[in-house]
Amino acid sequence: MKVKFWGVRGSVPTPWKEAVEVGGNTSCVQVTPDNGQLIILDAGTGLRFLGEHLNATEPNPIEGHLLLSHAHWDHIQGFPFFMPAYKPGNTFTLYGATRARKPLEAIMAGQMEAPYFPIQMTQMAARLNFVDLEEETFWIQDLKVTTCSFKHPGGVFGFRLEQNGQVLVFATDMEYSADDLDPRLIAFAQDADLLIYDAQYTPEEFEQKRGWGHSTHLAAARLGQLANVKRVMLYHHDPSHNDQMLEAMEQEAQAIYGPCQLAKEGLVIDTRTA
Amino acid sequence: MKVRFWGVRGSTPTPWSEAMQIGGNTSCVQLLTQSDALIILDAGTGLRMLGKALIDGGTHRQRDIHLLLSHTHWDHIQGIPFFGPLNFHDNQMTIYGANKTHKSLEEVIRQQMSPEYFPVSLDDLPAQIHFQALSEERFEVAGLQCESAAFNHPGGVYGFRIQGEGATLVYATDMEYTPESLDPRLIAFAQNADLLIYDAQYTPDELHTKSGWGHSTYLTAAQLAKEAGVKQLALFSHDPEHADSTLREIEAATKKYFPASFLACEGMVLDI
Repeated sequence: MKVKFWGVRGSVPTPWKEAVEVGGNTSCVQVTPDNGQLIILDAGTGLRFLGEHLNATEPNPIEGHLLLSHAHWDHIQGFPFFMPAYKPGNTFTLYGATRARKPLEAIMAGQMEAPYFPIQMTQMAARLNFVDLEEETFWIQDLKVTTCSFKHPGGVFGFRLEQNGQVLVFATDMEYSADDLDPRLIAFAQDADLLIYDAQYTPEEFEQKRGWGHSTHLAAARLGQLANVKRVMLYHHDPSHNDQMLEAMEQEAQAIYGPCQLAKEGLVIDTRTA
Repeated sequence: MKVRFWGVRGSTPTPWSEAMQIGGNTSCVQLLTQSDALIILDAGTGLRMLGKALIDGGTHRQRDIHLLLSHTHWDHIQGIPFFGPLNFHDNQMTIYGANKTHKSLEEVIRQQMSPEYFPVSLDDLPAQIHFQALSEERFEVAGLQCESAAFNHPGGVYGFRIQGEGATLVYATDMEYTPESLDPRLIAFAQNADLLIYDAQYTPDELHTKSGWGHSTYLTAAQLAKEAGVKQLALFSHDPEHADSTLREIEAATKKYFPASFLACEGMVLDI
């Protein structure tokens, strides 16, 4: 599987000179399995740039699958600006959960209702399908997807993607510290070739922001080590952290578990060479 | 009266290396007056940076905050949940904006922070938050005389004309007019302003394909400034597709029609 990071920031986009190197767009990762399918994890502002790229490079109708960890703004706010969704002939299937008793389709439509947005979701000309997920395993052609719920206000899904012996685990927006990792999470990430994990806070910030639903870079490293992961991508960077601070956090994580790396906007990684 | 631009981008924030010179945060303008009150126009992501500056400067407590919303499309309200001073109980904020037919202003702002979309609810914020519904009217904010008027934008938008301390500011963003179709009400509204902040999102070519989306071009901005006899024109609500270099070209093109014009840039402070 090939992975491209289009948005790596948490909470809110950061158009900030000091954050340009790591990137300021919110959560969005493109996964290209061996059969070339378009799989997208989360729909933060990074999705707008992925959409521009697709429009420029793909003359044929596009079929894509968007897996949404949850529906907090930084994970869906790119969808109204995803131009391929306005193009007739394209098809997108969105997978997510009913949250706060609202089905996924209503949540996504709600983002584009008046008086919040000038264009309604029904005006998107692509065919849109919605799949409400539970904790389950399902297939997108020969890609096996397993969902599991973790600790975040309002709930969040981690996704485990498997194909041809390659394993990618996307686990963002969840609150665990290095010494209270959920055994279910360790099992979920077990032997992954690539783990993308929430590394938003420093331990000091984690103490101040308990209950806000995020982990530390040290928890990411520890999880990678305990789950025997080949490479850990530190993800969902705090909007107050500049490039320099993030590089320092990367080094601290590497001191615990060598194969840790900052997820940066534009970075491409093949799980086979992870 | 001084004006500080905290967010100048339209539609969606642009964390993009080619846009860092002009800035990528969405709409937010602060008015600096002799009053201690904080007066803010629109609450895009620039509002987060304003909050951070207050906290870093230690001037974030016991503040009387007035937030005037032109309308409630995301790029004009998405900074509210990230405005740090709302985490302090001794601050109070009054939010001014239109009630909609099916939803009051308070419901609109509250829903932005409902649990499916955001982990913290409006009620969780310690600051006192009040809502003031606006129609087209004259009202007073912290000693300034304000006037709201409705213009052409999907779902509606207010322009604000604000007078005080011997100066007049007109804030008119997110509205669709062409140089030929300028609303005479808008020309009257902007008449003789010391500073006009106006929506210049599109090039004429873009307006061609985006007619009905609710934005103007820099040519409209220049024509309006000329007809209304304003002293200075700030081009505002930059399109997220426009890099710094494109915007500099737009600025140069605008100056040909109206020399006293410039791009609103993040961080810029103007004494009007």
